Amino acid sequence: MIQAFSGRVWKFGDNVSGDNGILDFETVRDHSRPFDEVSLAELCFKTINPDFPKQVKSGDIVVGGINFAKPGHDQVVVAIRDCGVAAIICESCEARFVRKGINIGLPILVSPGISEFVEQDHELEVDLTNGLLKNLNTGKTLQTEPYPQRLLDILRQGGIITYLVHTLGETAKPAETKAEA
Amino acid sequence: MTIAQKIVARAAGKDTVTPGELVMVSPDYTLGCELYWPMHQRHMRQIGVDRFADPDKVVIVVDHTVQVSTGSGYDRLHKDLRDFVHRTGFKNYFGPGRGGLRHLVMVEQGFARPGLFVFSDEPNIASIGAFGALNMPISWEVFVTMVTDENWIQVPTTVKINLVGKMGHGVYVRDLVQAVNRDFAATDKLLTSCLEYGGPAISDLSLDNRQALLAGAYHAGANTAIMAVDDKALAYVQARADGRPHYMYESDPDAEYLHEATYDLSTLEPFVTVPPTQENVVPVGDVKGVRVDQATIGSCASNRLEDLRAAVAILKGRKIAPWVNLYVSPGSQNVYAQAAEEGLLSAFTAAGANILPPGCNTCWGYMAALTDGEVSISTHQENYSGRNGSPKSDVYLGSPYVVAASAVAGEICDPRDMLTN
Repeated sequence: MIQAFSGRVWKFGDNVSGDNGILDFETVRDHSRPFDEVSLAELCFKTINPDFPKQVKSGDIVVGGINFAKPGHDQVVVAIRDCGVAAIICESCEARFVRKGINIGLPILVSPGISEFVEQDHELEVDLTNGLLKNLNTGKTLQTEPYPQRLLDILRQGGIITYLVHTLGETAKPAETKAEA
Repeated sequence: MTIAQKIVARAAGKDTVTPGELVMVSPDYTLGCELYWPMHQRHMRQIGVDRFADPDKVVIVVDHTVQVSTGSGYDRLHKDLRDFVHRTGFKNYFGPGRGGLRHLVMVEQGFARPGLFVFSDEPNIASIGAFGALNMPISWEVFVTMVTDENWIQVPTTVKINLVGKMGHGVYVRDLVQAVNRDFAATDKLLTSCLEYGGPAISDLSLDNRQALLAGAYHAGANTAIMAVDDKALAYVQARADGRPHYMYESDPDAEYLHEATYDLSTLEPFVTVPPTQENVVPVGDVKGVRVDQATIGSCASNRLEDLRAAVAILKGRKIAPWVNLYVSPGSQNVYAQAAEEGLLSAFTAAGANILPPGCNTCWGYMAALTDGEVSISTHQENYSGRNGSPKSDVYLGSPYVVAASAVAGEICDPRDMLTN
């Protein structure tokens, strides 16, 4: 995780459901099973924007409106991360949605005004440390709440499990590459 | 500070906290269901621990997959969990037959006590706020406090809803929940906040109905919910506390609320939430006559004794329509046993209802799944496409009165016509 980066914007509207929009509940329920390890990336946003799973590239940024991904189980944020998305910026979302992202190394920023600030395909620069967003197409900036240091530390480790491996002591086994969810 | 902020301050070991502040807290309990167990095991192996940091502060309840069906794959999960219980001597494990929904287990076992801070894996567990305990919903991240006994939170803002007036004939607490959903669900006014209910009408609500009210807060957008503890709630807690501590908090007179609203319960009527959103709430008369295939009484908002009594008030002496399947899911083993003692189960049976074991059952589509074109009227919490089976089925939401009456009529109908005054 780098603390400043830029990417192409995929813009979505208000009240986009996680369980019945970004994914579908049949998928969410099936992936409650412990034995499925199929990538959710190809299903992500499929019904809202069929181009998304086909065209999304590593480093792209998802922009959402109010109540983004609510309701949404853990599989929703995993699906977005598995698409290679570098960050989610939204008008508002559940507190635990932000946590779910941080826990698997995906920064999620709540930034009122973001829907007016960028359009689809704009290039957006994100500075997590300073909470500063810059629209590289318009040159405008939008100040948002900077990430507290502890959360930056978790993101830097790639998620909460690798963070715990590093903080819980020397006897811990080496971390696997990424937290599972 | 508000009640919620005082509870966070205590869990953080601080005198005061302010909304938005990031604090480290040590929870009084961490509550999880069985679904995350395979993930917890993998994570334990990854970080090199094989037991909980403080096992007495962890509670695990099997409620989503109480009955393991052939081919579901949950048999292995159940065995792994029971092996862990056997190996580590973990006490607060409530398997099939010993618990029910974790929302109810927390209360019935005396874990939910005033002033306590609970990390859990679900926002509907806000129902424990009826006894003054604060639920802080996260996800599989409950793992963190299971193995380290601490985690971060940002102190929530609080929204206050005052309740006044008395509910009329045939009106139920679910109608209040639906009115609040109607007004807030499509907004983000409650998002990330604790919803604090107060006002003179609270004292009229049974303890079961208070839990139902708070369990529904998430669907209006709130992160969690709570209310001040009165003598009735405290007596319930003290009968189960077994010497374990509690802390009485009230919001300060000058506590800051993000928003405030008042609901006059005398203005409510039986409502139905029309799929697939939470805010699409209409008077039952607006959807009268919609034919139903299935009716379900259950979910963490409507599976307590009071809810079963309400349904039986309609069903007693009546039969459900031949084309309708009515499924009843009692919330816990205790509710199930008391319902048997009161004769509620025999009333359901006589009406032609199918009584399922205590658990989530129909609410997440694990049992009695709907097929294409089917319509359900339900006391569930969710109504979006595919939640209870086929994405081409429809789930309407209502009170136990509305659901029971509609099961009898075979179509959505006003329960007041079947209720004696």
